[in-house]
Order: sequence, then structure tokens, then C-alpha cells
Amino acid sequence: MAEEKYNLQPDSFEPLGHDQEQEIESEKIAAPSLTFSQDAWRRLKKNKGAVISLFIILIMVIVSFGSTPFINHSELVKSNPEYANLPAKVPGIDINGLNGKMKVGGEWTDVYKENGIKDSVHFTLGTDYLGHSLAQRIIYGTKISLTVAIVATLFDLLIGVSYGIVSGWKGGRTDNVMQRIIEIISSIPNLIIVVLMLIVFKPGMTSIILALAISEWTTMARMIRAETLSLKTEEYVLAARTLGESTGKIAWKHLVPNVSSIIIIQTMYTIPSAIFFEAFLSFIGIGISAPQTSLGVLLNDGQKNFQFLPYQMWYPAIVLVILMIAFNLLGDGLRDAFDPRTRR
Amino acid sequence: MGERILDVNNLEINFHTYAGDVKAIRDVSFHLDKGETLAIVGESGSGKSVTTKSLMGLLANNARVVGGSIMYHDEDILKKSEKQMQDIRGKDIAMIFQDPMTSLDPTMKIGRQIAEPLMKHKNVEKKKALAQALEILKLVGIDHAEERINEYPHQFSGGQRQRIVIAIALVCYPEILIADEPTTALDVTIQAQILDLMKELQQKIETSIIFITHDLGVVAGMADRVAVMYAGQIIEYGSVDEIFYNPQHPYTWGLLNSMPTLNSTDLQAIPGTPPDLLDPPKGDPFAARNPYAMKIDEKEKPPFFKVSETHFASTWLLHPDAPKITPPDEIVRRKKIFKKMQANVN
Amino acid sequence: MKKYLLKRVLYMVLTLFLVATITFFLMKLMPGTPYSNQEKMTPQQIKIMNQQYGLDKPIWMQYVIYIFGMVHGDLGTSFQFSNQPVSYLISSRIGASAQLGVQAMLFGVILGIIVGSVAAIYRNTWVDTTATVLSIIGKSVPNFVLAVLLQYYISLKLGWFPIADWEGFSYTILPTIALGVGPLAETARFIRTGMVDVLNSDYIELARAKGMNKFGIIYHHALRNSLIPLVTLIGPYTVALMTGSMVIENIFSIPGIGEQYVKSIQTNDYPTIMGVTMLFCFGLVLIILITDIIYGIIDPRIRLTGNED
Ligand SMILES: Nc1ncnc2c1ncn2[C@@H]1O[C@H](COP(=O)(O)OP(=O)(O)OP(=O)(O)O)[C@@H](O)[C@H]1O
Ligand SMILES: [Mg+2]
Repeated sequence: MAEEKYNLQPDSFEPLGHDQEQEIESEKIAAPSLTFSQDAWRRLKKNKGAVISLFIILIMVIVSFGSTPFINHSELVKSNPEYANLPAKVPGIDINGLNGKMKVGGEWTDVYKENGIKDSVHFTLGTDYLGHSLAQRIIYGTKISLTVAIVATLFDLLIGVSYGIVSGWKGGRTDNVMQRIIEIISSIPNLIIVVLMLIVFKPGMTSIILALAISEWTTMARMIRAETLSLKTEEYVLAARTLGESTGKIAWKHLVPNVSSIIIIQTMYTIPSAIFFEAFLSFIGIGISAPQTSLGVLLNDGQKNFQFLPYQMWYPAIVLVILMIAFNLLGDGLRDAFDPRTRR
Repeated sequence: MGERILDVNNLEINFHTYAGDVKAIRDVSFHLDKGETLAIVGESGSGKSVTTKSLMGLLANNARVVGGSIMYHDEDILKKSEKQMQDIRGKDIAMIFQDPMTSLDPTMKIGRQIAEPLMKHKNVEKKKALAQALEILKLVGIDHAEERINEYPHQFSGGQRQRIVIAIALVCYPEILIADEPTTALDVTIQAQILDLMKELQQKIETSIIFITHDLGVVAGMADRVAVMYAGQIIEYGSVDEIFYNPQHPYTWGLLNSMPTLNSTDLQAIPGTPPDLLDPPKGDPFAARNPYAMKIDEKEKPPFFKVSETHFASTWLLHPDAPKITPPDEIVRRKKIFKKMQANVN
Repeated sequence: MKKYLLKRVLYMVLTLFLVATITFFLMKLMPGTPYSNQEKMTPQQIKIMNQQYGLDKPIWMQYVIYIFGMVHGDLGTSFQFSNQPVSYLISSRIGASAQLGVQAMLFGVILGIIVGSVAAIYRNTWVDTTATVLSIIGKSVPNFVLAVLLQYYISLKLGWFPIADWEGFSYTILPTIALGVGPLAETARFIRTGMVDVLNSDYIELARAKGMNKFGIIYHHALRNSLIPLVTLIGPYTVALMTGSMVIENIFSIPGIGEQYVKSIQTNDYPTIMGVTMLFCFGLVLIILITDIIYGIIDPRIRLTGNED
């Protein structure tokens, strides 16, 4: 054979002598261990859309809830006719539409000047028909919309998760009956449950929250039940059961962590659907109504004057849409992060 | 053996991934003669499926053939267009996949699924194709074929489904049949039936078979020749008897050692894991797991040393300067049998 | 099959009966007798009206009468439009709503299938990215916002379509789009995910190994397998369309059920609310039943049997 080619040394054929430590070392490197949630988090961070969405949501939450000390609701409902229907005016910016000018009869006119408003007064996003700052109303409205959505989702989660776990864990007849109940409830359109609830209770935040919670939980319950059913037969849960741990403890220690990915993902999808429902109900006038404020109320107000003052609907619409997109993208991102199989 | 129909030379395939290029196939060469059965054995991830998919032109999108050629009747498959490959697939080279439970379209009657290659390649009209499908369905041993031809995959058992997959592969009487672990997903008794069926049909249809498996046990009754793959390379090849009774590469020893036999008392899995193909080691890829490794193994990849006209192995242990070592007991036992066999022949 | 159907129909009736009962008693809890001009009426007149509506009878009797009437298609008389039977109100308006709903469903589902499959076939290219972005936006923009924008910019500004009312096909186009975009986005996402799964499946690989070309694989194997599960979304879509119709019909002044429902809620027209509620429930339950049956027919793996649980 070509000895030259292979550059054989005198010691070439001496044994290499693997020692035990080396092998263990190499095995360590071969299997870097990440916990499931760390792994999911790492995958989520790689998803640009989801990360940006998360930031947007955080900013919106911080701004809208952080504004509480600054935006006084009683002030928000007082009308200031002298400031009514002013367009946006941002000091230092001279772009038509953001400088206090508005197209009136085809011409850009400075509405602030025309109405004899002092130079020092300006509204970043203009005002509504009662002279309230639109920016303030949007921030306040976002807070209300988010509150409704988040609280409703929490209720939904509470009912759905406990119902699902009980149904899946008990199994047998209990499960059967509980599933029939879900079947019946889910063949009633959500809309009808919501409408009936709103008729019985007076329209307002509380009744919307209740209505949403009651109508949305079945999806969550179904998914949790399915997961519980399959977990029940897993060995570590079986072991815990044979060792006589109490059901509650097992549920807390084994089930909740395991279904948490479902909970997180499902929550991220329920929130935007709750935001939509609140806006929808307020828009058709059976949800939150003026002088209360929510994104739906603002859209309803803005729509009335859309032909002449389009900004009054555009601004809240943009906020609402961004919020919905952010939650949907984050939901998709989380789903992909927790379930690598769906990643493509 | 008959004429040479397939000749794979120095094949190299990389997969482009986010982490870098996975060098899945590194300098693989083998050939296939008419009518013979070649078994390719190796651990999971050794590159068996990638090799066979390259024969079919069915590599994943991120795969790149970096070098080599696959000569089929003196034409390089790697140079053919997708359209030309479509004419070869299913007609000249057919394939059976590992999992019969997922290989069939759940929403199409099996008759139609078997008839499809005929309609595509032989321009047979649907009625005639279905009639031929019925024939082949009987041939692969499905009872009451007349009625069952109109049923859907879920109405068949796993073994039956694999028979149907075999029917699909053989319906055009291909020259080469690639079977990628065709029995792994089946239980043992069914496994034997399917293997028998394949042997029987090979006689009838006169096809050559490339038989992929990670289970040496299956190989003995099936193959004429065996190639052992490790980490994207073929490290030893020879006739069945040579591989089973006169193995030369420590990895082949390991495989044989981990195979249950009547005499073996203790089964030993090969310790350690295969190397990372993102950055394969410079020398012998098996060195890190090889108890007989030598210094040279870390530096230089061993060439193929000739053991007999048909038997080659890529290990420095065959170098004339290498120290004589004693293989594991089981291998010593096998080599004794080999000596006897040779004595009988002479 | 027969047994299964019978069971399903039984459940359907039970559901409807429960909803009717709950709705009835909820409505009875409501204060007042909201005739449209109650303030102007003398107690005498109110008494006569009560008699006329059967409100003087004990509640259980009213309940029996209501359920009995409903079985015979009599949903009572509207409080708001004096002497108009609710069933007449509904039947005179159901045409517009049904047309709008069917058009929106077809528009959304057909376009969604096309967009979703194209995205899956060209996955990870700009086509896919565009489709994904558009479907996220379509899913996130509420249909009523879209409706207002379409109405203003397309009808009022560009004058391409009538602004409102329901007098011919051109009147239906914008409402159909506004209502159909939600299902479109949802379908596109659903089909894309399903199709990508299918395209990665072993049986597609086998089809390729048979030598089939791309078109044959998509047409004969991929499409059918990814379309079948879409049937399960028809029920949820129906709910979305019912919900959407309430606001879209309002914006475009379409004389349909949804618009009527909103009006009834705002004016506390309880008989009409109950009537429409029952109609919506009946519609949904029926559609779920039909889609389940269709699913069983087109997916060979599902067998409708009596002993299925
Ligand atoms: N599409 C791909 N992208 C990246 N790497 C791939 C891809 N396909 C295969 N590989 C890599 O190529 C190597 C060989 O894979 P292959 O599927 O051929 O293994 P195998 O020998 O068939 O194993 P098994 O017995 O499990 O089927 C593996 O390391 C695998 O990770
Ligand atoms: Mg493989």
C-alpha cells in the first residue's frame, strides 16, 4: 500500500487507549440538555414576528395601564365644544394631516386657526366630536378593551382548565356527561350566549366579561381534556397514583405543567378573539357605550363621521388592528415554539 | 452474476442546514449486478436512506450532490432532469418505504394506487391498469383481491399494507427494487412473511434488490452481498458469508456482536455515539468508539484493504504493519466457521 | 348509520329545546312590557294588548303555548311591529341573509383554498410569505372596520359599487367581501398548514417514487387529503357569518336577519329576539349535522356507526 501517501509514523500503530473520562466527556457534549420550556423560549426568540409582537403588546399594556394616574376618566367624559373635531397637530411636524390642517372642501385649511384656538393648544391625534383628546381616549379605550379581554380570558381559562382536567381525569360516566354538556353548549352560537347575557345583565364591562367567559371556555376544556386523557396513562403519573399521591397534588405537580403549553397558546388566541368581540358588541351598540370608552366605542363614534373626519375612525382602527395582529403573531409563534413539529 | 446495471462512484452529498453543512454521504462507492440482492447495513443516521434517495432522484430540497456519479446503464442519473427522472422512477427503479401505515394515500382506493404507475409509464388505460393491478394484488398474496381492490388502506393490516406497497413497486416490473427497511415497522412473524414474499417475487420478476436495514439478522437469508455503512461511508463490503463469518472491521464486529444468535450468551451494544456529521473527524470516523483504535486512526482515513476478490474493508488493522489483535470471542467463533466453510469448498 | 343519525337528530332536538326554554325564561325575567309606544297607552289598552299577546296567562301556560307554537312554526308576534308575526318577519328577511352568507362562504372558502395551496406548494418563497402576511392581516382586521373602509373608499370615493341597499348583484359585492375575508384568511392558513403536512407525508413521497409529476401529485393526492378536514370548519364559519351579518347588514342597510336582530335587541322586542335566536341555533345545529355527515362520506377513514361514542 501507498505508505508515502499516508505518512506513517513509527508510532502510528500504537493503541490509542481510550480512557473512561474522555468517553463520558464526549457524551456530555453530544447531548446538550435544555429543558422543554427553555427550548421553547429559545425557539420563540428566533421568531422575529413573535418577538416584535411581544414588544408591541408589552408597550401597549404598559402605556395603557401606566396612563391611569394621568388620564382622568371624569375629565374624559366632560365635553369641550370649543375643541370639537380638531385634526391631529404635532408641534414641529409640518405634514398635512398632522399639523392641524384638514381637507375642507378640497383645500387644506388650518382648523386650529380657523376656530381661534391658542397656539399653545395641540392634540397629537386630534379630538372627537365632544372635544376630547383622541389620543387620551384611545389610550383609555385600549386599557378597557385589554382589561375586558384579559379578565374574560382568565375566567375562560379557569373554567376551561378545571373542567377539562376533571372531565379527563375522572373519565367514565362523569366524562361522558361532561362531554355531552360541552357538545350542547358548543352547538349554541357564542353570539347568542353573549347577546342573551347582555340582555339579562345591563350592557357594560362586567356583563361583557361574563358573557365572553361563559361562551368561550369550551375549546379550552376540550383541549385540556384530551391532553389529560393521554397524560393519565403516562408512566410517571401512573407511578404517582400508585404511590398514593392525592389527585389534587398530582394535578398540580404533573398535569398543570404539562398542559401549560396548551394553556399559553390557547390564551394567546382567546385574547384577540375577546378583543374582537368587545369591539364588535360596542360597535353595534349593545356592548360598552358612550360616555364609557373602549376601542369599540371609539370605532362606533368615528364611523358616524367617517365621511368628513376619517381620522376619528382610522386611529382607533389602527390601534385595534395592530393589537390583533400582535396577539395573532405571538400566538402563532408560541404554537410553533412549543410544538416543533408545526415549524416549517 | 449478471451484467452490472448500477455503478455508484465516490458519491458525496451534503445537506445545507442552519447549523452548517451536514456531510451525510462521504465518498461512497458500490455497484449492483443484474438479479442480485445487495444489503446495506448500518446504524440509524449512517446515511442509508440518503444513498437510496439519491438513486431515485428524491433528495430533500436542502441536499446537494457535491461529487461522484451514479451510472445506470452507462448514463449518469445525477445528470438527468427531473422530467427524465420521472420516467425512470416507478418504472425502472422502484422503492418500498419503511412504514406501510403511512405510505399509502388514505383517501384513495388501493386499486387505483397500484394502477397509477401503469397509467403513468405504460400508457395503459384505467380499466386495463386496474385489471393488471388485480393480478399483482393476487401475486403479493392478498386474499379476495377482487373485492379488496376497491377498499381503502385503513381497511388493511400493517402486513397487508406492506404487501400492497410491494405491489405498487413491482407493478411495472422494475429492474431495480430499493427496499428501505421494509420490515422494521412490522412484527416478527409478519417480517418473515414479507421477506419470503420479496424473495419469491424477485425470482418471478427478475429484479435486482437493494435492501436497506439496520438489522444484520434480516440480511443473512436475503442478500448476496453486504455493504456496511458508518457515518456516511461504506467501511466494509463483501459476500454475505464473508461479512458474517470473516468480518474485518471492528464496527462490523460490533454489529455482529449486538445481533442475537443461538449461541451468543451476552449481547453487546456498541458503546458511544456516531460522530457529528457537521464536522466529521479527519481519520477513521469509528476511532472514537473503537477499542482497537490506533494513533493513525485519528490522523488518516484508512483506505480499502483487499481481503479477497469480493471482500474489502477500510480499517488500519489490515495494514501489514498493524499489530495482531484478538477480536471478540464471538468473532473468533465465526472465523472458525469460515475456515471450515472454505475447507469444504476446497 | 341510521342509528347514528337518529342519535344526532335527538341531540339536535334536545339542544334546541334547551335553548328555547332558557331563552323563554330569561325573557320573562326582563322587566316591563315593552310595547313600542307604551307611555301613550292607557292601562285599559295595555290590558287589551296583554290579552292579545297572551301575557295575562300564567307563565307556565305561556311557556307551553310558546313551545307548542314553535313546533308548528309559530314564533309569536313582534312587540315592535304591531301585529307582525315573528315568523313572517323572519321569512321576509331570510333571503337576503342567506344569499349574503352563502356568497361570503363561497368567496372565502374557494379563494382561501387557492391561496393556501399555492402558499404550501411554494412554501418558504415570497409567494408563501405574502400569503401568510395577508392572511394574518385578514384575520386581524375586524370585518366591520373593513366594511366601513370599503364602503367609503370603493363605493363613495371611486363609485364602483352602490353604497348601500340590496337591489341587485352589484349591491352584494362589497358586503360579501367584507364578510368573507375572515373565512378566507382562516381557510388559507388552515389549508396551508394541512397541505404542508400532506406534502411532507410518506404517501406523497411514494407518489413521487412512482414517477408522478408535480401536477398529478397535487391534483390526485395532496388536494383531496388537505381539503377533507376543511369540512369541519364550516360550522365555525357559519357562526362567524351569523355574527358578522349583524354588523355588515347594518352598515350596508341590507334588509336581513342580522340587522333585524340588532334592532330587536336595541328595542327589547323579545318575541323577535327569541325567534331569531332559535333560527340561528337551528341553522347552526343543522349545518353541523350536515357537515358531519358529509365528512363521513368523503373521508373513507370515518365510518358513521351507531356504536361510535
Ligand atoms: N433533509 C436533511 N437535512 C439535513 N440533514 C439530513 C437530511 N436528511 C438526512 N440528513 C442527515 O443525513 C444523515 C443520514 O440520514 P439517513 O436518513 O440516510 O440515515 P439512515 O441511515 O437512513 O438512518 P435510519 O436507520 O434512521 O433510517 C443523518 O445524519 C441525517 O441527520
Ligand atoms: Mg433511513
